[in-house]
Amino acid sequence: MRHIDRFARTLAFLLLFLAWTDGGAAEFAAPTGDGWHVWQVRSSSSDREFDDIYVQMKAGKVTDIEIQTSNCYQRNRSPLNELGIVPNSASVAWLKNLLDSNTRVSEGAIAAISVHAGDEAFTVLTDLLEDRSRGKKTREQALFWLAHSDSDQAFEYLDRLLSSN
Amino acid sequence: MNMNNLRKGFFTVLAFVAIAFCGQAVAQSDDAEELKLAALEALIAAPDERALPLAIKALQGNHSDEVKSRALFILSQIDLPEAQDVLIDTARQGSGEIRLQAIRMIGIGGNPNALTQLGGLYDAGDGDVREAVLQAFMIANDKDAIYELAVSAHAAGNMDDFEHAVQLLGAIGAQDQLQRIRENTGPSQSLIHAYAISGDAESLRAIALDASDTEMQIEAIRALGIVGSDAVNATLMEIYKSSDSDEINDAALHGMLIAGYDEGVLELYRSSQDPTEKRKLLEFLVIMGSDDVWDVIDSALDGGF
Repeated sequence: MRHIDRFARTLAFLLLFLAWTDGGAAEFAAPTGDGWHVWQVRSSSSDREFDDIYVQMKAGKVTDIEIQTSNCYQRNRSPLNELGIVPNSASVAWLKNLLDSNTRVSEGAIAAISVHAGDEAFTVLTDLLEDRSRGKKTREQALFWLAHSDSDQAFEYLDRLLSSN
Repeated sequence: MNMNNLRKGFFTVLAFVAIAFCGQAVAQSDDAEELKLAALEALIAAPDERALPLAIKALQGNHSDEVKSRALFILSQIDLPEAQDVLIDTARQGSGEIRLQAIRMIGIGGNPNALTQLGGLYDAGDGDVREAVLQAFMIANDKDAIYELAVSAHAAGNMDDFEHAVQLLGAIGAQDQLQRIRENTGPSQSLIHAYAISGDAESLRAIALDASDTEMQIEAIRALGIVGSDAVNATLMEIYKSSDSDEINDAALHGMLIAGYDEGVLELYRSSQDPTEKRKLLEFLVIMGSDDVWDVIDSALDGGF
Protein backbone atom coordinates (compact mmCIF):
# COMPACT_ATOMS: atom_id res chain seq x y z
CA MET A 1 0.00 0.00 0.00
CA ARG A 2 2.83 2.32 0.83
CA HIS A 3 4.30 1.80 -2.65
CA ILE A 4 0.94 2.51 -4.18
CA ASP A 5 0.59 5.73 -2.18
CA ARG A 6 4.04 6.86 -3.24
CA PHE A 7 3.23 6.01 -6.87
CA ALA A 8 -0.05 7.93 -6.66
CA ARG A 9 1.66 10.95 -5.14
CA THR A 10 4.37 10.88 -7.81
CA LEU A 11 1.79 10.54 -10.55
CA ALA A 12 -0.23 13.39 -9.10
CA PHE A 13 2.87 15.55 -8.88
CA LEU A 14 3.81 14.68 -12.44
CA LEU A 15 0.35 15.54 -13.70
CA LEU A 16 0.42 18.82 -11.82
CA PHE A 17 3.83 19.60 -13.26
CA LEU A 18 2.61 18.90 -16.79
CA ALA A 19 -0.47 21.01 -16.20
CA TRP A 20 1.64 23.87 -14.90
CA THR A 21 4.20 23.73 -17.71
CA ASP A 22 1.71 23.68 -20.58
CA GLY A 23 -1.53 25.12 -19.33
CA GLY A 24 -3.16 21.77 -18.71
CA ALA A 25 -2.79 20.92 -22.36
CA ALA A 26 -3.78 17.58 -23.70
CA GLU A 27 -1.76 15.89 -26.41
CA PHE A 28 -2.21 17.39 -29.86
CA ALA A 29 -4.39 15.47 -32.28
CA ALA A 30 -3.43 17.21 -35.51
CA PRO A 31 -6.34 18.48 -37.58
CA THR A 32 -7.20 16.32 -40.56
CA GLY A 33 -10.76 16.74 -41.82
CA ASP A 34 -12.01 19.52 -44.05
CA GLY A 35 -13.31 22.68 -42.41
CA TRP A 36 -12.09 24.90 -39.60
CA HIS A 37 -10.19 23.58 -36.61
CA VAL A 38 -9.35 25.56 -33.52
CA TRP A 39 -7.09 25.05 -30.55
CA GLN A 40 -5.76 27.13 -27.72
CA VAL A 41 -2.14 27.77 -26.82
CA ARG A 42 -0.51 29.65 -23.99
CA SER A 43 -0.10 33.22 -25.19
CA SER A 44 3.15 35.13 -25.44
CA SER A 45 1.18 38.25 -24.60
CA SER A 46 1.31 39.54 -21.07
CA ASP A 47 -2.34 40.57 -21.05
CA ARG A 48 -4.03 37.23 -21.71
CA GLU A 49 -3.45 33.58 -20.95
CA PHE A 50 -4.46 31.88 -24.19
CA ASP A 51 -4.73 32.59 -27.88
CA ASP A 52 -6.83 30.67 -30.39
CA ILE A 53 -5.25 29.21 -33.50
CA TYR A 54 -7.72 28.65 -36.35
CA VAL A 55 -6.76 26.40 -39.24
CA GLN A 56 -8.79 25.72 -42.33
CA MET A 57 -8.33 22.45 -44.21
CA LYS A 58 -9.55 21.59 -47.68
CA ALA A 59 -8.93 18.26 -49.39
CA GLY A 60 -6.51 17.32 -46.66
CA LYS A 61 -4.40 20.48 -47.02
CA VAL A 62 -4.13 23.59 -44.88
CA THR A 63 -5.57 26.53 -46.81
CA ASP A 64 -5.72 29.26 -44.17
CA ILE A 65 -4.45 30.07 -40.69
CA GLU A 66 -5.78 32.78 -38.42
CA ILE A 67 -5.08 33.87 -34.88
CA GLN A 68 -7.85 35.05 -32.66
CA THR A 69 -7.31 36.78 -29.38
CA SER A 70 -10.03 37.39 -26.85
CA ASN A 71 -10.34 40.91 -28.26
CA CYS A 72 -11.13 39.78 -31.77
CA TYR A 73 -14.53 39.61 -33.34
CA GLN A 74 -15.78 36.03 -33.31
CA ARG A 75 -16.40 34.94 -36.86
CA ASN A 76 -18.68 32.09 -37.78
CA ARG A 77 -16.71 29.17 -39.02
CA SER A 78 -18.46 26.00 -39.92
CA PRO A 79 -17.80 23.19 -39.41
CA LEU A 80 -15.61 23.94 -36.41
CA ASN A 81 -13.59 21.20 -34.83
CA GLU A 82 -12.49 22.22 -31.34
CA LEU A 83 -9.26 20.59 -30.26
CA GLY A 84 -8.98 22.25 -26.85
CA ILE A 85 -5.76 23.33 -25.17
CA VAL A 86 -2.71 22.04 -26.98
CA PRO A 87 0.92 21.96 -25.74
CA ASN A 88 2.74 24.94 -27.21
CA SER A 89 5.66 22.79 -28.32
CA ALA A 90 3.36 20.45 -30.27
CA SER A 91 1.46 23.33 -31.83
CA VAL A 92 4.66 25.12 -32.88
CA ALA A 93 6.10 21.91 -34.32
CA TRP A 94 2.95 21.34 -36.36
CA LEU A 95 2.84 24.93 -37.63
CA LYS A 96 6.55 24.83 -38.44
CA ASN A 97 5.85 22.15 -41.04
CA LEU A 98 3.76 24.69 -42.94
CA LEU A 99 6.51 27.28 -43.41
CA ASP A 100 7.25 26.10 -46.94
CA SER A 101 3.61 26.20 -48.04
CA ASN A 102 2.11 28.91 -50.21
CA THR A 103 2.48 32.53 -49.07
CA ARG A 104 -0.92 32.80 -47.40
CA VAL A 105 -0.39 29.68 -45.32
CA SER A 106 3.27 30.28 -44.51
CA GLU A 107 2.62 33.89 -43.43
CA GLY A 108 -0.30 32.69 -41.34
CA ALA A 109 1.93 30.04 -39.78
CA ILE A 110 4.62 32.60 -38.85
CA ALA A 111 2.04 34.89 -37.30
CA ALA A 112 0.47 31.97 -35.44
CA ILE A 113 3.84 30.76 -34.15
CA SER A 114 4.56 34.26 -32.83
CA VAL A 115 1.65 34.17 -30.38
CA HIS A 116 2.99 31.05 -28.64
CA ALA A 117 4.77 31.56 -25.33
CA GLY A 118 8.00 29.70 -24.88
CA ASP A 119 11.38 29.01 -26.37
CA GLU A 120 10.17 26.91 -29.29
CA ALA A 121 8.35 29.79 -30.95
CA PHE A 122 11.23 32.19 -30.32
CA THR A 123 13.69 29.72 -31.84
CA VAL A 124 11.59 29.19 -34.97
CA LEU A 125 11.29 32.95 -35.53
CA THR A 126 14.98 33.66 -35.00
CA ASP A 127 15.92 30.71 -37.21
CA LEU A 128 13.74 32.17 -39.95
CA LEU A 129 15.28 35.60 -39.52
CA GLU A 130 18.80 34.23 -39.65
CA ASP A 131 18.23 31.88 -42.58
CA ARG A 132 19.32 33.83 -45.62
CA SER A 133 18.33 31.02 -47.96
CA ARG A 134 14.75 32.06 -47.19
CA GLY A 135 13.15 34.85 -49.18
CA LYS A 136 13.28 38.40 -47.87
CA LYS A 137 9.52 38.35 -47.33
CA THR A 138 9.74 35.43 -44.92
CA ARG A 139 12.60 37.04 -43.00
CA GLU A 140 10.68 40.32 -42.84
CA GLN A 141 7.70 38.47 -41.41
CA ALA A 142 9.86 36.89 -38.74
CA LEU A 143 11.41 40.26 -37.87
CA PHE A 144 8.00 41.91 -37.73
CA TRP A 145 6.56 39.37 -35.30
CA LEU A 146 9.67 39.33 -33.14
CA ALA A 147 9.56 43.12 -32.90
CA HIS A 148 5.87 43.13 -32.04
CA SER A 149 6.19 40.43 -29.44
CA ASP A 150 5.78 41.17 -25.74
CA SER A 151 8.62 38.77 -25.07
CA ASP A 152 11.70 40.18 -23.34
CA GLN A 153 13.69 37.39 -24.94
CA ALA A 154 12.74 38.63 -28.42
CA PHE A 155 13.49 42.24 -27.54
CA GLU A 156 16.89 41.38 -26.09
CA TYR A 157 17.73 39.33 -29.17
CA LEU A 158 16.82 42.17 -31.56
CA ASP A 159 18.57 44.70 -29.37
CA ARG A 160 21.82 42.74 -29.56
CA LEU A 161 21.35 42.41 -33.31
CA LEU A 162 20.78 46.10 -33.93
CA SER A 163 23.29 47.38 -31.42
CA SER A 164 26.22 45.44 -32.82
CA ASN A 165 28.69 47.14 -35.13
CA MET B 1 -0.98 78.00 -101.58
CA ASN B 2 1.52 76.17 -99.47
CA MET B 3 1.00 72.69 -97.99
CA ASN B 4 -0.03 74.05 -94.62
CA ASN B 5 -2.81 76.16 -96.11
CA LEU B 6 -3.86 73.25 -98.28
CA ARG B 7 -4.07 71.00 -95.21
CA LYS B 8 -6.01 73.59 -93.22
CA GLY B 9 -8.38 74.09 -96.14
CA PHE B 10 -8.97 70.39 -96.49
CA PHE B 11 -9.74 69.92 -92.81
CA THR B 12 -12.00 72.95 -92.76
CA VAL B 13 -14.05 71.61 -95.68
CA LEU B 14 -14.18 68.23 -93.99
CA ALA B 15 -15.38 69.85 -90.78
CA PHE B 16 -18.03 71.85 -92.67
CA VAL B 17 -19.38 68.75 -94.35
CA ALA B 18 -19.35 66.70 -91.19
CA ILE B 19 -21.06 69.27 -89.00
CA ALA B 20 -23.65 70.09 -91.64
CA PHE B 21 -24.32 66.43 -92.14
CA CYS B 22 -24.55 65.70 -88.48
CA GLY B 23 -26.86 68.62 -87.80
CA GLN B 24 -29.44 67.06 -90.09
CA ALA B 25 -29.06 63.56 -88.80
CA VAL B 26 -32.21 62.09 -87.38
CA ALA B 27 -30.83 58.96 -85.89
CA GLN B 28 -27.64 59.42 -83.92
CA SER B 29 -25.30 56.58 -84.66
CA ASP B 30 -21.93 55.90 -83.16
CA ASP B 31 -20.36 56.56 -86.54
CA ALA B 32 -22.00 59.95 -86.81
CA GLU B 33 -20.83 60.85 -83.33
CA GLU B 34 -17.29 59.79 -84.18
CA LEU B 35 -17.42 61.84 -87.34
CA LYS B 36 -18.56 64.94 -85.47
CA LEU B 37 -15.79 64.57 -82.93
CA ALA B 38 -13.21 64.05 -85.66
CA ALA B 39 -14.50 67.09 -87.52
CA LEU B 40 -14.19 69.24 -84.42
CA GLU B 41 -10.69 67.97 -83.81
CA ALA B 42 -9.82 68.95 -87.35
CA LEU B 43 -10.89 72.52 -86.58
CA ILE B 44 -7.91 72.98 -84.30
CA ALA B 45 -5.77 73.23 -87.42
CA ALA B 46 -8.15 75.61 -89.17
CA PRO B 47 -7.76 79.40 -89.23
CA ASP B 48 -9.57 81.05 -86.31
CA GLU B 49 -12.04 82.91 -88.54
CA ARG B 50 -13.13 79.68 -90.17
CA ALA B 51 -13.17 77.58 -87.01
CA LEU B 52 -15.21 80.07 -84.96
CA PRO B 53 -18.62 79.78 -86.73
CA LEU B 54 -18.30 76.02 -86.99
CA ALA B 55 -17.51 75.61 -83.32
CA ILE B 56 -20.41 77.90 -82.37
CA LYS B 57 -22.72 75.91 -84.64
CA ALA B 58 -21.64 72.67 -83.01
CA LEU B 59 -22.14 74.17 -79.56
CA GLN B 60 -25.61 75.45 -80.32
CA GLY B 61 -26.82 72.46 -82.34
CA ASN B 62 -28.68 69.41 -81.10
CA HIS B 63 -25.58 67.41 -80.23
CA SER B 64 -24.29 65.29 -77.41
CA ASP B 65 -22.50 66.81 -74.43
CA GLU B 66 -19.26 65.28 -75.69
CA VAL B 67 -19.53 67.05 -79.03
CA LYS B 68 -20.41 70.32 -77.31
CA SER B 69 -17.50 69.92 -74.91
CA ARG B 70 -15.17 69.46 -77.85
CA ALA B 71 -16.64 72.59 -79.45
CA LEU B 72 -16.00 74.49 -76.22
CA PHE B 73 -12.39 73.36 -76.31
CA ILE B 74 -12.01 74.64 -79.89
CA LEU B 75 -13.49 77.96 -78.79
CA SER B 76 -11.00 78.15 -75.92
CA GLN B 77 -8.18 77.89 -78.44
CA ILE B 78 -9.49 80.61 -80.75
CA ASP B 79 -7.84 83.93 -80.11
CA LEU B 80 -10.80 86.10 -81.05
CA PRO B 81 -12.98 88.15 -78.66
CA GLU B 82 -16.12 86.51 -80.08
CA ALA B 83 -14.88 83.09 -79.01
CA GLN B 84 -14.27 84.31 -75.45
CA ASP B 85 -17.71 85.94 -75.43
CA VAL B 86 -19.37 82.67 -76.34
CA LEU B 87 -17.43 80.86 -73.62
CA ILE B 88 -18.40 83.46 -71.02
CA ASP B 89 -22.06 83.42 -72.11
CA THR B 90 -22.10 79.63 -71.86
CA ALA B 91 -20.39 79.79 -68.46
CA ARG B 92 -23.04 82.24 -67.27
CA GLN B 93 -26.18 80.94 -68.89
CA GLY B 94 -25.46 77.39 -69.94
CA SER B 95 -26.88 74.47 -68.09
CA GLY B 96 -25.56 71.34 -66.48
CA GLU B 97 -22.27 69.85 -67.51
CA ILE B 98 -21.87 72.16 -70.53
CA ARG B 99 -21.88 75.19 -68.25
CA LEU B 100 -19.22 73.61 -66.04
CA GLN B 101 -17.16 72.65 -69.07
CA ALA B 102 -17.34 76.20 -70.41
CA ILE B 103 -15.96 77.46 -67.10
CA ARG B 104 -13.09 74.95 -67.21
CA MET B 105 -12.39 75.83 -70.85
CA ILE B 106 -11.93 79.45 -69.86
CA GLY B 107 -9.18 78.15 -67.61
CA ILE B 108 -7.65 76.17 -70.44
CA GLY B 109 -7.80 79.16 -72.77
CA GLY B 110 -6.17 81.30 -70.11
CA ASN B 111 -7.57 84.58 -71.47
CA PRO B 112 -7.07 87.12 -68.60
CA ASN B 113 -10.30 89.02 -69.32
CA ALA B 114 -12.37 85.88 -69.42
CA LEU B 115 -10.72 84.61 -66.21
CA THR B 116 -11.60 87.84 -64.45
CA GLN B 117 -15.29 87.21 -65.22
CA LEU B 118 -15.15 83.90 -63.36
CA GLY B 119 -14.81 85.58 -59.95
CA GLY B 120 -18.40 86.83 -60.22
CA LEU B 121 -19.63 83.39 -61.23
CA TYR B 122 -17.97 81.89 -58.16
CA ASP B 123 -19.78 84.16 -55.73
CA ALA B 124 -23.20 83.50 -57.25
CA GLY B 125 -22.71 79.85 -58.18
CA ASP B 126 -23.65 76.58 -56.53
CA GLY B 127 -21.11 74.03 -55.32
CA ASP B 128 -20.48 72.59 -58.80
CA VAL B 129 -19.96 76.02 -60.32
CA ARG B 130 -17.58 77.07 -57.54
CA GLU B 131 -15.66 73.84 -57.98
CA ALA B 132 -15.41 74.40 -61.74
CA VAL B 133 -14.24 78.00 -61.24
CA LEU B 134 -11.51 76.85 -58.87
CA GLN B 135 -10.48 74.20 -61.38
CA ALA B 136 -10.35 76.83 -64.11
CA PHE B 137 -8.09 79.03 -62.01
CA MET B 138 -5.92 76.06 -61.21
CA ILE B 139 -5.66 75.06 -64.88
CA ALA B 140 -4.76 78.65 -65.75
CA ASN B 141 -2.26 78.65 -62.86
CA ASP B 142 -3.91 81.84 -61.64
CA LYS B 143 -2.59 81.68 -58.06
CA ASP B 144 -3.71 85.17 -57.08
CA ALA B 145 -7.29 84.50 -58.15
CA ILE B 146 -7.43 81.37 -55.95
CA TYR B 147 -5.80 83.32 -53.14
CA GLU B 148 -8.52 85.97 -53.38
CA LEU B 149 -11.23 83.30 -53.25
CA ALA B 150 -9.58 81.66 -50.23
CA VAL B 151 -9.37 84.94 -48.33
CA SER B 152 -12.96 85.93 -49.08
CA ALA B 153 -14.21 82.42 -48.19
CA HIS B 154 -12.39 82.65 -44.86
CA ALA B 155 -13.78 86.12 -44.20
CA ALA B 156 -17.29 84.82 -44.94
CA GLY B 157 -16.75 81.88 -42.59
CA ASN B 158 -17.12 79.42 -45.47
CA MET B 159 -14.47 77.00 -44.28
CA ASP B 160 -15.18 74.25 -46.83
CA ASP B 161 -14.47 76.63 -49.71
CA PHE B 162 -11.49 78.06 -47.87
CA GLU B 163 -9.96 74.63 -47.36
CA HIS B 164 -10.62 73.63 -50.95
CA ALA B 165 -8.95 76.78 -52.27
CA VAL B 166 -6.00 76.25 -49.94
CA GLN B 167 -5.64 72.64 -51.13
CA LEU B 168 -5.49 73.83 -54.73
CA LEU B 169 -2.91 76.46 -53.87
CA GLY B 170 -0.82 73.69 -52.37
CA ALA B 171 -1.26 71.54 -55.47
CA ILE B 172 0.01 74.29 -57.77
CA GLY B 173 2.90 75.19 -55.47
CA ALA B 174 1.64 78.67 -54.62
CA GLN B 175 3.97 79.13 -51.66
CA ASP B 176 3.81 82.95 -51.61
CA GLN B 177 0.02 82.95 -51.59
CA LEU B 178 -0.09 80.29 -48.84
CA GLN B 179 2.34 82.36 -46.83
CA ARG B 180 0.09 85.41 -47.15
CA ILE B 181 -2.95 83.37 -46.13
CA ARG B 182 -1.17 82.23 -42.98
CA GLU B 183 -0.32 85.81 -42.14
CA ASN B 184 -4.02 86.64 -42.43
CA THR B 185 -5.63 83.60 -40.86
CA GLY B 186 -2.99 81.88 -38.74
CA PRO B 187 -2.03 78.22 -39.16
CA SER B 188 -4.66 75.58 -39.85
CA GLN B 189 -4.70 71.91 -40.74
CA SER B 190 -5.54 72.62 -44.37
CA LEU B 191 -2.71 75.15 -44.63
CA ILE B 192 -0.26 72.66 -43.18
CA HIS B 193 -1.32 70.03 -45.70
CA ALA B 194 -0.98 72.59 -48.48
CA TYR B 195 2.51 73.52 -47.31
CA ALA B 196 3.42 69.83 -47.38
CA ILE B 197 2.04 69.33 -50.88
CA SER B 198 3.75 72.46 -52.16
CA GLY B 199 7.04 71.34 -50.58
CA ASP B 200 7.35 74.40 -48.32
CA ALA B 201 9.56 72.97 -45.58
CA GLU B 202 10.45 76.39 -44.19
CA SER B 203 6.85 77.30 -43.32
CA LEU B 204 6.27 73.85 -41.85
CA ARG B 205 9.42 74.13 -39.78
CA ALA B 206 8.25 77.45 -38.36
CA ILE B 207 4.96 75.88 -37.22
CA ALA B 208 6.70 72.69 -36.07
CA LEU B 209 8.95 74.66 -33.74
CA ASP B 210 6.16 76.87 -32.40
CA ALA B 211 5.00 75.34 -29.13
CA SER B 212 2.11 77.79 -28.67
CA ASP B 213 -0.35 75.45 -30.41
CA THR B 214 0.49 71.78 -29.81
CA GLU B 215 -2.13 70.45 -32.21
CA MET B 216 -0.79 72.51 -35.13
CA GLN B 217 2.76 71.74 -34.07
CA ILE B 218 2.11 67.99 -34.26
CA GLU B 219 0.42 68.32 -37.65
CA ALA B 220 3.37 70.31 -38.99
CA ILE B 221 5.96 67.86 -37.64
CA ARG B 222 4.23 64.93 -39.33
CA ALA B 223 3.78 66.95 -42.52
CA LEU B 224 7.50 67.67 -42.65
CA GLY B 225 7.95 63.99 -43.40
CA ILE B 226 5.94 64.40 -46.61
CA VAL B 227 8.33 67.09 -47.87
CA GLY B 228 11.37 65.02 -46.96
CA SER B 229 14.95 66.22 -47.48
CA ASP B 230 18.23 66.23 -45.58
CA ALA B 231 17.23 69.52 -43.97
CA VAL B 232 13.85 68.08 -42.97
CA ASN B 233 15.53 65.00 -41.50
CA ALA B 234 17.80 67.26 -39.45
CA THR B 235 14.78 69.24 -38.23
CA LEU B 236 12.90 66.10 -37.23
CA MET B 237 15.95 64.83 -35.36
CA GLU B 238 16.37 68.19 -33.65
CA ILE B 239 12.69 68.19 -32.59
CA TYR B 240 12.88 64.61 -31.27
CA LYS B 241 16.06 65.20 -29.29
CA SER B 242 14.99 68.51 -27.81
CA SER B 243 11.45 67.59 -26.76
CA ASP B 244 10.33 65.93 -23.55
CA SER B 245 6.78 65.50 -24.81
CA ASP B 246 5.72 61.99 -25.81
CA GLU B 247 3.28 63.25 -28.39
CA ILE B 248 5.83 65.59 -30.00
CA ASN B 249 8.39 62.78 -30.10
CA ASP B 250 5.77 60.46 -31.54
CA ALA B 251 4.99 63.01 -34.26
CA ALA B 252 8.70 63.38 -35.04
CA LEU B 253 9.00 59.60 -35.35
CA HIS B 254 6.00 59.50 -37.67
CA GLY B 255 7.62 62.27 -39.69
CA MET B 256 10.78 60.18 -39.97
CA LEU B 257 8.68 57.16 -40.92
CA ILE B 258 6.92 59.11 -43.68
CA ALA B 259 10.24 60.58 -44.86
CA GLY B 260 11.83 57.12 -44.84
CA TYR B 261 14.58 58.44 -42.55
CA ASP B 262 15.50 55.03 -41.16
CA GLU B 263 19.09 56.10 -40.62
CA GLY B 264 17.89 58.64 -38.06
CA VAL B 265 15.60 56.18 -36.28
CA LEU B 266 18.46 53.68 -36.12
CA GLU B 267 20.72 56.35 -34.67
CA LEU B 268 18.10 57.18 -32.03
CA TYR B 269 17.68 53.47 -31.29
CA ARG B 270 21.38 52.93 -30.78
CA SER B 271 21.81 55.96 -28.57
CA SER B 272 18.75 55.28 -26.38
CA GLN B 273 19.22 53.77 -22.94
CA ASP B 274 15.51 53.57 -22.17
CA PRO B 275 14.04 50.07 -22.84
CA THR B 276 10.52 51.43 -23.39
CA GLU B 277 11.78 53.97 -25.89
CA LYS B 278 13.94 51.33 -27.56
CA ARG B 279 10.96 49.02 -28.02
CA LYS B 280 9.02 51.80 -29.67
CA LEU B 281 11.92 52.75 -31.93
CA LEU B 282 12.38 49.10 -32.79
CA GLU B 283 8.78 48.83 -33.94
CA PHE B 284 9.25 51.89 -36.14
CA LEU B 285 12.44 50.46 -37.60
CA VAL B 286 10.71 47.21 -38.46
CA ILE B 287 7.72 48.96 -40.00
CA MET B 288 10.11 51.05 -42.10
CA GLY B 289 11.72 47.81 -43.29
CA SER B 290 14.64 49.70 -44.72
CA ASP B 291 17.73 48.33 -46.36
CA ASP B 292 19.83 50.04 -43.67
CA VAL B 293 18.18 47.95 -40.99
CA TRP B 294 18.70 44.78 -42.99
CA ASP B 295 22.33 45.69 -43.57
CA VAL B 296 22.81 46.02 -39.81
CA ILE B 297 21.01 42.72 -39.17
CA ASP B 298 22.94 40.82 -41.84
CA SER B 299 26.30 42.22 -40.84
CA ALA B 300 25.53 41.35 -37.21
CA LEU B 301 24.63 37.82 -38.29
CA ASP B 302 27.82 37.59 -40.35
CA GLY B 303 29.82 38.65 -37.33
CA GLY B 304 28.13 36.05 -35.14
CA PHE B 305 26.84 38.90 -32.94
